[in-house]
Amino acid sequence: MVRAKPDRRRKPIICPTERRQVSLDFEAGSAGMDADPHCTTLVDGAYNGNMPTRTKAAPAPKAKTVRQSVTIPAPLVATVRREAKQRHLTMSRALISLAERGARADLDAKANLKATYKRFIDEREPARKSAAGEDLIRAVFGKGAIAEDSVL
Amino acid sequence: MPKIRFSELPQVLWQHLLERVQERDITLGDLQRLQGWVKSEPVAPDGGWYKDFGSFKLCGSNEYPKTVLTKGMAAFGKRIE
Repeated sequence: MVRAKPDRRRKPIICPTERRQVSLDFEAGSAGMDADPHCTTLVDGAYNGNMPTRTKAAPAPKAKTVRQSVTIPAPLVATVRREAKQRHLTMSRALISLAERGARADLDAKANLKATYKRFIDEREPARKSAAGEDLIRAVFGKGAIAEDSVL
Repeated sequence: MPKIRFSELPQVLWQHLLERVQERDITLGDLQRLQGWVKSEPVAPDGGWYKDFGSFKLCGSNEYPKTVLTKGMAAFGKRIE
């Protein structure tokens, strides 16, 4: 005895947007959903083969971090430990804080040198040029470069 | 050996350095390299010495820097690497 297969094509279809049953008439080649704008739209005629690509904004570039183990030189240990204690940081965080401060100071020193050099070269008025020169000497050799009572 | 002294420089000395910087067209780049070298706390040999930066030279005597020379000028004393 041959059992007849259930006809799946006749299974009721539920429209996902309106939650109501729609019927498809495959024999006729078109569906009862055609009239319903919320349901499946046939694309055979209008589809040109180009699928729209997904345009997702590129994620913002993350600043790259590096996990690094370092040995702290003995003379620096006390400084790092003091920084950690004062600011309630771990030794590692204190080390980073000091390194950031050092790097910033280095950049500031370079910017200061550039500004004072330009001022020294451009200045024509003697008193101002002398002051700019003093600043330039301090920028190159350090804050304590000029003796208070300068006599050789 | 003592470190080269870049602090408490006498007025006549730093004024002379400034005059030579201007007169010999020492550039900002030159001074930036000099600034970096100063931070390395170099040691001073006995007697005369000089440091060749390529585009200029810093000359000194004992612990004091004394003058700057241009690239082509001859320097005396011990060369510091």
